[in-house]
Amino acid sequence: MFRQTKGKMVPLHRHHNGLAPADLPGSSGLPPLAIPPLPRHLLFPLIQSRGMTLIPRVEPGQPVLKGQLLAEHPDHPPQHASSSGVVATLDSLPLATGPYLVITTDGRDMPVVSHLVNPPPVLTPKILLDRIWQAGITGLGGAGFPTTGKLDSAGIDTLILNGAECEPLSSCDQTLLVRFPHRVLAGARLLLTTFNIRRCLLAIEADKTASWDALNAAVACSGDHSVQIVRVPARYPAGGEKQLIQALTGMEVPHGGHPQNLGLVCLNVATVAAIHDAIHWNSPLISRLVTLTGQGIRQPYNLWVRLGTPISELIKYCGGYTGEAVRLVQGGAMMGYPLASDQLPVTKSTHCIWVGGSSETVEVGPEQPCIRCGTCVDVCPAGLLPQELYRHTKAGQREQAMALHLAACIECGCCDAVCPSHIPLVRQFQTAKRQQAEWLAAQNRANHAKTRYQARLARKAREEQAQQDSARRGKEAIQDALARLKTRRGSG
Amino acid sequence: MSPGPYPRLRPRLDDLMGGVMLALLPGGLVQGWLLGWGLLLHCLIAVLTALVCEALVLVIRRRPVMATLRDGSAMVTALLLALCLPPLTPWWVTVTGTGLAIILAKHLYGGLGYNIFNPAMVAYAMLLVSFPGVMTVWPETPASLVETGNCILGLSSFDGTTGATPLDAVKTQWIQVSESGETPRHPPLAPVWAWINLAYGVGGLWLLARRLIDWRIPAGFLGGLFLTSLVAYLMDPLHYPTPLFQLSAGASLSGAFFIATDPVTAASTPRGRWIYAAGAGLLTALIRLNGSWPDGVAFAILLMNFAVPTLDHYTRPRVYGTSA
Repeated sequence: MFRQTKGKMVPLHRHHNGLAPADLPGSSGLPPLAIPPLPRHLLFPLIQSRGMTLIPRVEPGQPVLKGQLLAEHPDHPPQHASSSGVVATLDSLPLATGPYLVITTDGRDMPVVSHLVNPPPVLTPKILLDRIWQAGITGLGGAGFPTTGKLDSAGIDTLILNGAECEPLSSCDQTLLVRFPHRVLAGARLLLTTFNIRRCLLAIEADKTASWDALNAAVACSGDHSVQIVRVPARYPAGGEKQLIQALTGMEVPHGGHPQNLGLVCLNVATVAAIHDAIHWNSPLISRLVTLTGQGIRQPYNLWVRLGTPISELIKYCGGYTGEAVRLVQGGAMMGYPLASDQLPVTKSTHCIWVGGSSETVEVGPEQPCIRCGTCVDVCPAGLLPQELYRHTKAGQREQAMALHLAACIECGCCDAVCPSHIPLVRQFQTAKRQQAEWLAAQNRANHAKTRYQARLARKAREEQAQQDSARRGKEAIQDALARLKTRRGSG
Repeated sequence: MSPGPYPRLRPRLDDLMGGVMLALLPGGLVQGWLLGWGLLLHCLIAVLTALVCEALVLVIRRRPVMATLRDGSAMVTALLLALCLPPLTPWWVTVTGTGLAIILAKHLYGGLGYNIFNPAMVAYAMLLVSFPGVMTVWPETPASLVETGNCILGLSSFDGTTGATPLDAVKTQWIQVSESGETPRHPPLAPVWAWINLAYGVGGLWLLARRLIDWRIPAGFLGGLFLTSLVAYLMDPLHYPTPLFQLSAGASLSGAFFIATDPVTAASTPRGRWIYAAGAGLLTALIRLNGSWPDGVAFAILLMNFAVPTLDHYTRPRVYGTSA
C-alpha cells in the first residue's frame, strides 16, 4: 500500500485488525449539507467533559450578541454565544446534569464588534495559541480537549490532520473536506508557518474519493504543496488517533504516552478549520458540522449547526422521526452513547447524531458465557486479549488486568460488535479502567500519607533527640559549673 | 437503553451452534448412507442423553435450564461424539459416553466456556480405553435398520462380517507383508472414508464462508497432518501410506473443521491457534503412523488441549505502544 503524494511514494503502514467497512452499517452516499433555521432557544451546558464548570460572565436578563463571551474557566476554553438574544435563566434542565446557560434568541443574529485585528500582523506561537484559546477551540473530533494543550509543546516535527471519520456513520469531516477544503488547508498552513512544523499529512479514508478530488483541486488551486494528502485504508477505527499515527508513520504512541512524545500532533480537520475561522475571520467557535443519520430519521443531513441548538430542532429539520426509530445516540453506532432526551443541545464535541431504526440494529440479547472463541482478539486494534481482560476484570484481578495492559484499550467497540455471546466488553473495561484509576489515586494518596507520616515520625524523633541533647548539655553545663566551683573552693 | 456499540456483526452463540449442526449434515448423511443406520440412532440417543444430563446438572447447579439448553452446545457435543462411534455400538456405551462428556468433561470444569478438554473427545477416549472391543468393530457392509436396532439394543449380536477401517488395514497389511516379504500396495485414497471426509469438508467450507470458525485451525491441522505424513512417506514409502490417503482416512476432515475448532478448548490467540492446530495435525499423524489406536485425532486434540493455556500465555499479541 502506498500513499499517493506528488513525486514520491512512501510506504503506508497497515494495521490488520479492526473492522472492514463492508461489515459495518454505512449510510449510502454523502448526506447533503444544509443550515437549519435559528432556534428559539440556545442551550449551553456549563459542565464540560472533564468535569469542569465554566463560570458564567453574563447575568439573566442581559442582552448578548453573537460571538460574545458567555462563560469561561482558567483551565478550559471559553464559550461564546452562537446568536444574539437575551440570557434567559441559569437553570437546570429536567433531564440534564448540571446548570445550563439559556439564550432566548431575538432573530437578528447581531454579531459582537471585536477589537482584534485579523489576521494579526505578526503571528508568533504565543499570539496564535492565545487566539485559539480565546476563540474557545477544543478538539472537534469528539474528545473535546483544549486544542492549545496539544500545540504548546516544543519541537513538533509532523502535523497530522485527521480527516478519517471516527465513526462509520459520521460524514461531517468528509462534508467539510468536500465543501470547504480551503479553510482546512489555510488553517494548516497557519500552524505550519507559525510553529515551524516540518511536514503536514492530511489523512482521509481510501474510499472517500470526493474528499480526495476536492482536496487535490484545492491544493492545485493554491499552488501550496506543504500539506500532503494521504489515503489510509478505510478500516474502522482508521480515524482513531493512535491507529492513524501507526498507519501514517509506522510509529506507535508509547503506552501511557502522548503523540507529542514522537514529535507528532494530531488534529481533527474541523479543529483546523475552526483555527482558520478564528484567525482569518475573527470568529470564535460557535458552530460546527453535525451528521444526522440513521433509518430513524426521514432525510439524513450534514448540518451546519449553531452550538447550543437542541437536537430536537435538527430532527425536525430532517423531517422528523420515522416510525421505526428506536434509539437516539450521540456519536455514532460504535462509540456513541444513548441520549436521554432530544431536548439536549449540540455541543462542541457533537459530531454525529444517529437515530437507529429497528431494522438496522440487532437487538443485543442477554449475555451468554464467554466461549473463548478469540474473535475479539482478531479484531482488537490495540492488540489486546479482550476475553482475558474480561475474565480478570470480572473477577476483580486488578494486577492481571494491568499486566495485560487494560489501559491501552481505546474503547472502539470492535470486540463487542463481534462477540457471539453479546458480552458488554467495552462497558466492563470502562468500569475497570475507572476503578483502576481510582485505585491508583487512592494508592498515591496512601503513599503520600505514609511518607508524610514517616516524615512526621522522623521529625518528632529529631526534636526529641534535640530536646534530650539540650537537656543533657544543660545538665553537663551545670555539673561543669559545679565542678569549677568545687575546684575554685578547693584551691581558695 | 444500553450504551453502545450497537452493531452486532457475527452470529449469536445459539446461531453459531446451530450453524455447526447444520454444517455437520452433509458429512453425517454420507457417513450414515455408507456405514448404516447406526449413526442416526446413536445421534438420537446421544442428543437425548445430553439434553437430560445438561438439564439435570443445571438444576443441581441452580442455573437457568431452558436458556442454557437453547444455546445448543450440549447437542453439538452429543453429535460429535455420536459421529465417532461405530454404527453397531450398544446403546449404553453411547449413553455412558455422552454422560461423561456433559457431566465430567463439561460441567465439573465449570460449564460452557470453562472446560479445558474437548468434551466429545474426552468421552470418546474414555470409551475407547474402557471398551476397546465394541469401539473398534466396524461392519464391512451397512447393516439393515432392524439388524442395527437389535445390535444397539443388545437383543442380538452382529453376525455379519466386520472389517477393519482403512487406517487399521494399512497397519495390519504392513505387519502381514513385512512377515511375508511382499511389496505392500497402499490405495491412493482411503476407500469409503474418502467420501465421508469429502462431505465433512464441504460442511467445513460452509462454516468458513459463514465465518463461524477460524480458518487458521483447519489450515493448521490439515497442514500439520499432511506435512508429517509426507515426511514419513518420503522416508519409507513402502511402510507408510501417502499423505493424501491420510487426509482421506479416519476423522481427518471432521477433526479439522468440527473438533479442533471447538472455540472453548482451542487456543485463542492467532499465533496460538496456528501452533495448536498444527500440533494436533502432527500428533494425529504420529499416532496413526506409529500408534496402536484406530485413529489419532481424539488423542492429538486432547494432548494439544493440555498445551492451550501455555500457548495462549506465550503467544499474546504485542499490545499497541508496548515493546514486549
